Amino acid sequence: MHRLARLLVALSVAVAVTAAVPGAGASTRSRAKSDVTITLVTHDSFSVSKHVLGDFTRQTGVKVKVLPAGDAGAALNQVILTKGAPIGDLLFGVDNTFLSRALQAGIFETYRSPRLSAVPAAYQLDPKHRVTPVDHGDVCVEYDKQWFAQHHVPVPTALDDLTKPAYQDLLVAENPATSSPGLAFQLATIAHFGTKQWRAYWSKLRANGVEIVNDWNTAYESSFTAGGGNGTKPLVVSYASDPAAAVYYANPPKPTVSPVGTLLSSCFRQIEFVGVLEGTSHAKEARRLVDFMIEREFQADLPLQMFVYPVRDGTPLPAVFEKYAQVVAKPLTLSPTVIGARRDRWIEQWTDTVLR
Amino acid sequence: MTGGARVRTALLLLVPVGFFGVFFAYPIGSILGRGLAPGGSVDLTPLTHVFSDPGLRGIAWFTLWQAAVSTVLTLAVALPGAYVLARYEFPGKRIVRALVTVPFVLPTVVVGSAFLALGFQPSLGAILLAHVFFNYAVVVRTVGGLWSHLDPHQEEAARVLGASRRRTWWSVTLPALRPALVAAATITFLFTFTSFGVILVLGGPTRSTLETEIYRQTTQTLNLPLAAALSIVQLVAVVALLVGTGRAEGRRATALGLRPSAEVARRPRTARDRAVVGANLVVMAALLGTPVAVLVARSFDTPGGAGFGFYRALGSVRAGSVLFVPPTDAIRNSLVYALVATAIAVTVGGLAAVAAARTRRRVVDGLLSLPLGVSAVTLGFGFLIALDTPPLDLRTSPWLVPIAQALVAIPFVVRIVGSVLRSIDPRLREAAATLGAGPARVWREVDLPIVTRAASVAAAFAFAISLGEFGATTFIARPNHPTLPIMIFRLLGQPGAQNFGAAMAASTILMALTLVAVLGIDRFRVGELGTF
Amino acid sequence: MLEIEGVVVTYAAGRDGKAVRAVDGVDLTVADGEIVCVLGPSGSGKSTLLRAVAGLEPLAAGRVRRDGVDLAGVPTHRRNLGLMFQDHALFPHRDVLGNVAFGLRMHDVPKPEATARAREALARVGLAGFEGRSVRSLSGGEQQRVALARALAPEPGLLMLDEPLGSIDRALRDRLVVEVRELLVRLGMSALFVTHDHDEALAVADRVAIMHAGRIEQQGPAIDVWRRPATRFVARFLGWNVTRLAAVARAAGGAGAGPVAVRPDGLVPDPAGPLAGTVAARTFRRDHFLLRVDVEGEPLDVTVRGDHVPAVGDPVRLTVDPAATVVLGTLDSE
Repeated sequence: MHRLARLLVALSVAVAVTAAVPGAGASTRSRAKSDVTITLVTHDSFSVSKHVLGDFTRQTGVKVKVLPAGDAGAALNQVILTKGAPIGDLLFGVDNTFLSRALQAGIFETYRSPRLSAVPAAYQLDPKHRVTPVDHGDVCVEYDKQWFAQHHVPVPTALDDLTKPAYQDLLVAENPATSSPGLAFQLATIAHFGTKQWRAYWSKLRANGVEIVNDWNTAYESSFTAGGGNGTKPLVVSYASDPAAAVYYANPPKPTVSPVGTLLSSCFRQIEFVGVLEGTSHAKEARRLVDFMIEREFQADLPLQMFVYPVRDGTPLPAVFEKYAQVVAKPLTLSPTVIGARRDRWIEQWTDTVLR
Repeated sequence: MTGGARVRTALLLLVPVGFFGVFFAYPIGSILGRGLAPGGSVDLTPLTHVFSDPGLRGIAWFTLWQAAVSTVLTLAVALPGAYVLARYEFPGKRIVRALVTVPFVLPTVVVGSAFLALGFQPSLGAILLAHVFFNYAVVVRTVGGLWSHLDPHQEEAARVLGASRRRTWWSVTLPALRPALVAAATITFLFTFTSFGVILVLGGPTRSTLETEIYRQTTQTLNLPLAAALSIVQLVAVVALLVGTGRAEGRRATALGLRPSAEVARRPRTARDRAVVGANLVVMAALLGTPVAVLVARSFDTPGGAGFGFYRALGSVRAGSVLFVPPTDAIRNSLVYALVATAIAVTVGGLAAVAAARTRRRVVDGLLSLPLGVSAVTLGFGFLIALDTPPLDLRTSPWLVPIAQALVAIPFVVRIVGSVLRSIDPRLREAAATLGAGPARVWREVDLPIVTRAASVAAAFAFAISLGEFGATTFIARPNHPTLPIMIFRLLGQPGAQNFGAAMAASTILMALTLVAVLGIDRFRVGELGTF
Repeated sequence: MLEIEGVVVTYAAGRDGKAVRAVDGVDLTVADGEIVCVLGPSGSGKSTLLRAVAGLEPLAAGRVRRDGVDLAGVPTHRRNLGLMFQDHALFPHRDVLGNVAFGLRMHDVPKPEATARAREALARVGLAGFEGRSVRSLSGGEQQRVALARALAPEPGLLMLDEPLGSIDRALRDRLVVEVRELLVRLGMSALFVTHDHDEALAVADRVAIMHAGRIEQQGPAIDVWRRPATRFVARFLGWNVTRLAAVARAAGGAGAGPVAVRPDGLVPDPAGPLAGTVAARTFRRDHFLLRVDVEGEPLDVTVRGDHVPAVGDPVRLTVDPAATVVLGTLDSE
């Protein structure tokens, strides 16, 4: 009896607690009758300061629910699959490597934000304005400064250096089939060496002992000498903002020189976009959020939240960026259309060249 | 069975069948349908690709053999451990039993990073070792559970009759353990056959299983036809396995001499006893303890020396972000989700087990084990396209997370409750009847209390599974209520020592919570024969 | 008054699909306040008979009546019977008091009264103070007595006991047999008792029914059955010698009529006795020796008291005590 009673009590408590399932009973609509809530679908790495989104709500009366939906690819594909009955009102986080798939799927409404005038045309990759650029970052080869100093090896300066004996077994890169920076770096080599020669370059990289792992986590945290673990590779394919992040997230006392440096000639530019989803019933509010995302306040918040660069001209950068991260003046690029048309084939060729 | 009993059984099945239909069969059917019949007409060419394309065939073959090798290895390493924990009594045994279970519920990302930190390169060996690490507990608890009740007199009789130790093992112990061995091997095989995180992190880029390939085809290339074909191949393999082993398990020995575990276990007395116990404890410490210890050590290894710096960082790193939650909230989210998942799993699984025990068929067990054979990404995307019409527009509901977790836990609930139900001595029911209890009263007075106890074990187990569940959770678009595993994953996705250390701290907290849940399981096991 | 008339219980057993008649046409009555014991070897159908009376086995034929009312259609829990199971079937999830009070709760006895009566029942079987103990922690004898108290507590109209003392050692069993009988007599309870041990049966029962292969071969007052076995099976089961030796038949006064049964203590060593044989085996039994004597190729059991006991291989002559013999019916089944 007592045991049974206890179980029943436990179950009823569990049921009672379900009222407290994070967000369950509290349908956003019923909570704020006068206000509209819009849902921003995005990837798991999305971040923005609470007070910034709060300001948006104060200015417009529109609340924003953020819905992380896996990595960038998973988030986009979920939105494509639910076209017609979208799970949100906007999608943030499509980058130029996935852009053509998103545009072909026709998931976005056209919207040309009046704030776009402050964004350089170089970032506006969709002439029809179905997506609006929000931030950019660069995927580059990063190096562990301390390692190169201690081993008296000169820091590499060009992609070609990485195939030289001096850098044998020093580089870890990600698999383009499973990792977004991995794909970006492959595209960098294609942009640099051309569609005919890039495979030869990778053959040489392979011969020179490049290590391939499936995800950025493993590459940076486990294999990279300046990452979280006791890695053995002083060169890693990662982000140009890493030098800033490495200082910002260092354990106190913060170093005066970043432990990480960037091989500036190896960088591929990633631009992230936001778009209003076709079928939304809150198009007006969603457009307002698009505007807000390229306004100064949001743009200035980006660097320290996602370690990316704002697209808006004249946005002040945080000190840690100014001081430690190097600006990539001439990143490598490829047109989204070309990427969209040949990405799968390239990944297959890469796999044949590097893994088989 | 009489007509009335049949109706009652059907009513009991209503909830599990309904739940299973809405939250499993329908979503999975939808996503597979979208892949194989995009325009309404079925196109099975992707299925033929799986067998004609050498790359895909290689993936299928690798999936199969690595699972087989992992299963054999796990049995080989864990059976001696199961023996020691079942047959010997030594100080700290309870805590060892609980500790052994911790790896089973750890998120694979965390374990992967621990293995890499220990110096393992991505390789086949690392995969196999990690599989043994994760599934050790399955064997120890499933086989050990039965072993600790097996009458040692049977073995002694064999020895007296002239059988060597080895002969005794092969001809007496092994046959008696067979049902539990089959169950443990089945579960281990299922887990390793559908392995995802371990393969991704420790397999390196050259090794794929069906599960990782389904993930890639779904989230990266959006090749739904191929993903559906691979899912079907995986599902068919799992069904075949479950049907096969269900038969083998069904032929259980009838007259097992089962005794209370307290009467079976004894203190090590001879030097040989001590060596056996010691050697196994060393294996457990090395195999299971080292990766766990690495995680814990790293969570305290702050630059200024050992300290709680990373635990404090958990509450401060990125505190201003809209997606930030304090660790206390992540713990609370984890606990709440796990509670809800447990309530669902115990209700649905319990009813299914009761109904299954009435029909004495194992179909229900097998059917409810299917979620173990479906990849998390398939389920998540299935939810997305199937549950899109009110009142079932649950696509962005926080309920989906515990529902997905419950699907993973239900097979275990069915097994635990079902095996206890089947083991109730029918004379107890008869005794209650002669003392004046009618059929309903008999059920309430005899079956229910015994089942309740089994359900408590199942509940604690479901709780632990949900606590560590990561796969299904990540592929569900969900509002910002991260659980501990999600929090760990996010922290690991950011560069910088503080994020990494905080991830280790969160992992340590998760392990501590798991340990408490497992100790709870063991407190409830009062000599019953729950198979996990 | 319990009346069992022509009861048949069948099991659909065996690979050939043939129904096995576990109980094959049994007639038996238990009068109010009477203790009846069904005695028979294992497999004779005794337990099945009890289960049929309790309503746990369906009847293939015959009927069971209580005080004139046919019990067909009355479910087990409304039959107001107590059944003490062979292996006790105590509820493992309840403590001792919970087990004993179970039947009272089923009959909606208010809790305080149920507790009081359960305690009383426990005290009656000598287990006062065991109320809160787990039934798993009890010894066989203690479990036994808890099972008895549980069956007794609701004061059923008829108590049925299935090998109740089976798992207890001899010395305790001898004592318990007496206690159980005293208790049943004191409570004035009717009881149907099943055992394979004739000492136990004769000690506890007013009337004994000997069961064999699903049938009752003989029933009557315990002393009558013991003194006058009616069939070869009953005689052998009770430890009698069954023989056609002429000298024994003559002593029994039934020469040529059929086999004769003679009790081991009815064969007395006597140098002038008519039977001549050789001692084949000798066993010591507390207060006597049991000899196996070969007489004309037939082994006979002989009880011998006193100091001069022949050794194995010794020739021995025996006389027959006519009072210890019975001429068995010629219609004997065996």
